[in-house]
Amino acid sequence: MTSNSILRWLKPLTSLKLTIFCLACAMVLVFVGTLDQVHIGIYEAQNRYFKSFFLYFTPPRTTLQIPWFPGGYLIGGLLLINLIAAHASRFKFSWKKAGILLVHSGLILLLVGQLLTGLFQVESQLRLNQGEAKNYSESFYHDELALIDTNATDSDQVVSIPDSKLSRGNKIDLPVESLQLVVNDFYPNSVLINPSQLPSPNYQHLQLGPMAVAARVAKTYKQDERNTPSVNVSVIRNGETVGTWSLASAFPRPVSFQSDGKSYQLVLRPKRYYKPFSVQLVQFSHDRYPGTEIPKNFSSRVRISDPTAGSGRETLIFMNNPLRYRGLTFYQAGFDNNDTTSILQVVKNPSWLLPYISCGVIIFGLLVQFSMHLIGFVRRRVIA
Amino acid sequence: MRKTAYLFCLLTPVFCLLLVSCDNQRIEVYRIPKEKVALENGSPGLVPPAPEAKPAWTKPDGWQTEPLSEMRLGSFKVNGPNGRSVDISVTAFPGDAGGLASNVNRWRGQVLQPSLPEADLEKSIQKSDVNGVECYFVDLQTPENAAKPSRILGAVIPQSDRTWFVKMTGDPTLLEEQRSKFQDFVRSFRFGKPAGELVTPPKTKSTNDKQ
Repeated sequence: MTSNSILRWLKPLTSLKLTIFCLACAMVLVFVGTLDQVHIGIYEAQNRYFKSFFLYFTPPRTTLQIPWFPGGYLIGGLLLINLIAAHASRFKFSWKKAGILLVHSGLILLLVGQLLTGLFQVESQLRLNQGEAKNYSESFYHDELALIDTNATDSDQVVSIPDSKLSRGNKIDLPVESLQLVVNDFYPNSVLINPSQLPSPNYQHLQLGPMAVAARVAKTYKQDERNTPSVNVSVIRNGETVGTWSLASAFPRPVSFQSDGKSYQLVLRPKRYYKPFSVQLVQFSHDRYPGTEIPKNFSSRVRISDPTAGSGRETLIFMNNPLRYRGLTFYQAGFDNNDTTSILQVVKNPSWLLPYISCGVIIFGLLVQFSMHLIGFVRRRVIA
Repeated sequence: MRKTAYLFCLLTPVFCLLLVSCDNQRIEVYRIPKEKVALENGSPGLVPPAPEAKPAWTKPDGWQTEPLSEMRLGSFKVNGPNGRSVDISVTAFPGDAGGLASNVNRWRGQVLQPSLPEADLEKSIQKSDVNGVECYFVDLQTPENAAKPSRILGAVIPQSDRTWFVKMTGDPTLLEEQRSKFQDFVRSFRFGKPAGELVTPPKTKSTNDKQ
């Protein structure tokens, strides 16, 4: 294939019709995604409509997934290629078009930044009771089955299995000690109840103990509700079952077992993101306007203990005043337990600067372009 | 130049595809400092506390049922003349929710009263009984010179795995008229709902909530 034929194939990518088509699809996607968000919540809507290549349709009584509309990644990707290709094919540098060039460069940077944010941003929650210190935050949407090797004296080794791998019948080869995990049953959402509260004896449930079962319930998509899955797993070593346990994320208490003379723990819990420092809640304040229940202010006084930074320091986190530390941002997000528990939102976004830079470039480009037009117009008026 | 740019266009989707196909949901192995965790040995020892079902109660006449919010398991309102009103809330939190003294002092703070030591608080708390379950009543009011007088009638009902709070707050005069209804409401609580209803845990409160 000659280079000219390659260029002929790529020419349609420069078309303005492709730009219009992508923008129209984007409008439809945003509209439909916004409507569906009411039913499935923001997080699920983002994953289905914007962090995907296609929207899928499943015909009744089948498990087929038929793509019927481009998703956010495809539309964004085509727009990015279209923008670059259009510039490449028609690019002739001219000071008169410097502003347009800057605006388009800023747009490209914005699209790339959004892609990187979507891929690499991690949001989690740090839930602290008064006086409690933690060196990890937890995901609100994802859980993990953690196998913990506790044999070392100074540290533990954690094998974290994401909940996406916990489907019924799945066999997982663990990267440690010839152990294999078999998922016998998995409920994406469940509630802990007394066995006497089961609607019927045949209702899907996992026995957690003599007085508690995890009953299967439908997944929730409400923004302020968390899915709490349950799982029944067996640990296998060299073809022999070491043990079988039912675990629930709503009650993340590890079970311990021995295998080949070594001690392990197994727990289903919200996915943890460990940090090289700890945060302690010194005091949570929920101030109300006197005589009313109307909130006036929420704030958390926290103490950061970082072994690499010497002695710890205290700082106040309150509304619109997050803590930025070690590439993480801690926001005051919620509270619980009669104002004795503070919930901080922890955000890690390596590309957080890109939207600011790209907006700055776009604004500068617009100012340059409009200024050139304005100066030209004024000059013509003066001459006339 | 143009060929280079077109080559860039070819590579861009490949690069984006590689990025998107990054598996963020993979098995991870890492080391952490030793953690002190209370654990159970094997499945026979795993006994999570059996959660209590929501109690049944009898709503007094004249109380308007309000929509539930994230923390409220029961919400009512009484409207009086001249725009006066009182608000009644039913909430529950795991364990002792910080203890009786700290919660009564928190309510004292809401009516601009200073906190008291536990020994002094006991004198202002009335111990009672709700269908065989221990219950504590409090009656708190803003100081006499308060710009906006307010009053709280509260009831604290400790259970095996959570503590229930019933609070009536609002205009002091209207609240006094509703006092006996409030006490009848609290005494109507019946714990231990029959099988058939699944209980979900109460939701946490966000700082974005209006109230």
